[in-house]
Amino acid sequence: MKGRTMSDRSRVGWWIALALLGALLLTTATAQKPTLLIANWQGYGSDLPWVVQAFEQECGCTVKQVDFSSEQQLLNMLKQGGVGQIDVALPNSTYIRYAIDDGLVQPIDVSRLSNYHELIPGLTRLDALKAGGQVYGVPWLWGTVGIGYDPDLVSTPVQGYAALWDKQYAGKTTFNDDPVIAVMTAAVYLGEDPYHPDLAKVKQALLEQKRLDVTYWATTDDFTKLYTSKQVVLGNVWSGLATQIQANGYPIRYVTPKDVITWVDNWVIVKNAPHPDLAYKWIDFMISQRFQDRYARDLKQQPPSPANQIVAESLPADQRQTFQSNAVLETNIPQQTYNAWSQLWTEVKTTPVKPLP
Amino acid sequence: MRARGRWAGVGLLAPAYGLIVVLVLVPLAALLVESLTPGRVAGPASLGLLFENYLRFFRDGPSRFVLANSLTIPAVATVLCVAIGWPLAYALAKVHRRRGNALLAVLMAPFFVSYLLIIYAFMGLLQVGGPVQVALHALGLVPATTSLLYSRAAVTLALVYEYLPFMVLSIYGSLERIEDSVLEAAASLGASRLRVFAEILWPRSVPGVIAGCALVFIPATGSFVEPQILGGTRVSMLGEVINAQINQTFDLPRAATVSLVLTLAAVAGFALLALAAHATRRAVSR
Repeated sequence: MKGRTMSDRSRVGWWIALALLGALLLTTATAQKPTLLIANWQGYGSDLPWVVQAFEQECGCTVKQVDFSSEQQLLNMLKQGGVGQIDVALPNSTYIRYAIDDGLVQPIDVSRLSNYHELIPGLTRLDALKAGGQVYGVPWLWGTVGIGYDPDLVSTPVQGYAALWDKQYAGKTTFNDDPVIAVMTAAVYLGEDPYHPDLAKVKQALLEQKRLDVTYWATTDDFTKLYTSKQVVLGNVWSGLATQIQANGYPIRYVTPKDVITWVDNWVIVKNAPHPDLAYKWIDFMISQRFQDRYARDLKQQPPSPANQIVAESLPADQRQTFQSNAVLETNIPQQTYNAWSQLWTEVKTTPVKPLP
Repeated sequence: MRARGRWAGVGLLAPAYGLIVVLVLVPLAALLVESLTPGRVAGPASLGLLFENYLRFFRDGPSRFVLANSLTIPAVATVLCVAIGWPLAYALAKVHRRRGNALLAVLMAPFFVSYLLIIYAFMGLLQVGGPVQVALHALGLVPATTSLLYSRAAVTLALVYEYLPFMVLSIYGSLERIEDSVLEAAASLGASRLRVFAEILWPRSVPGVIAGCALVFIPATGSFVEPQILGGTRVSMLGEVINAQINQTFDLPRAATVSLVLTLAAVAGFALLALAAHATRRAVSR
């Protein structure tokens, strides 16, 4: 425009300068905010947008997440530079022992967690979370590995893990690809001590079981596809996954055998965490009713069972699970044992078997 | 003067030699050393021998069986790639010459798709209720609830689809180099089409076929996602064993052992395929 004067132009210049200054201030302001670094599985509650937003507002900090895709990877991550960088992490009830033994985590002062007393006592009592009289892990979510089956196609009532060996379902079953679950399931089926089973017998049983399977399932997606396309009618499955499949409109019945295999995921504070205060705040938020209630009711997230007792008891009957202190816990498995079990499982997986007709 | 020239040549090639040493020889040596260290789960029967991991591998019946799978499945896939790929390459190089480039681009499409996506697509096609399964059932060939998944055929099919472009490209390269005048001369001298194929086209495409075999067979022997997803509990390949030893058992010495066995077996298998292809050249032209 011809009529535009010099002062117009300089005003534009001023605005630009002001905007730049604002942006600069904003970035330094965010840079000055402390950043809580969380190690967790991807898509497992802690990285939901509403969760991050709510916590960032509350703590005046920024939340950053690093993902791991196996428990072993989490340990490696902590050993290879994670200590001193990561604030909180989420090992399960098996791996927390290795983290404690390797000195990767620090003791937690539970009196600083205002919601700790709301947790299910059976969970906070677990030996696996403690060492030398100190608490190292705060239970967050837990679940069972029971049997899921199609009520329309399976007419005989299913009670225990023996259903996975029932030949009438040959060619219609699947089994979870996990060494600890595999060995423990076979041990319970055989009536062996699930923590010290006869491995030769376990291997034989797992090879027998393999003859019934169309395939093993590793990811939730694997199981969902197999089940909803009716390629399998029965398999061992995580409680949360069964709930999700049911919520998506596919009828599935979930049973927990008497000696049901149970796992617990726990928050830990990493040794030399840069922001210990934020770490306490985060854990307190994670076990609060505010988080646990909303997360447990969002079935699309296939939530496991909440560790907060008040929330757990308020859930609808079909989603409610009672933590059994006599359950077969995936915990206290020494590293040596774990190695032997995973070696056995690799052998089972790669041994060819004749499928049952 | 000559000596200086030679040294200059060596100097100029040094970076390339260096890369080969650093990226090929050193890792191979590391693999060998790793495979000679005791396995993480030595077990009660540890003999304390240098080649114990190898001994264990070959003494173990299932391992041998899985090794056989790792060679036969890719071998069948490679032969199928030649059977499907040769006519395709011929069509591109000699028939649709004008649109050759466009068709080549279409053929390359699978290259641009993640192999995981291809594998899952095959899963969708073959599973119960998938189009292929439904079509075969409609034709009365399979029962309604029989899945085509979890079989050798499913794994082989996926490998053929994934690796076919490599085979077509390398055969295309050798067919394109055959001068039309040679083919015209053969035709004008009364050679039948079959004779043109047997005495000119096939023998002169064999180098391309052999190169294609290397590009298809060797990487296919290392597959682990295909047998895992499409083979289920029914079909196992050594790639899965290596993967499990690294990611689940964390037994690197055994993983290294299996990797080296597989590498040597793959090279031997490829040599056999190449010899076979070479032999057909003489057999056909006789």
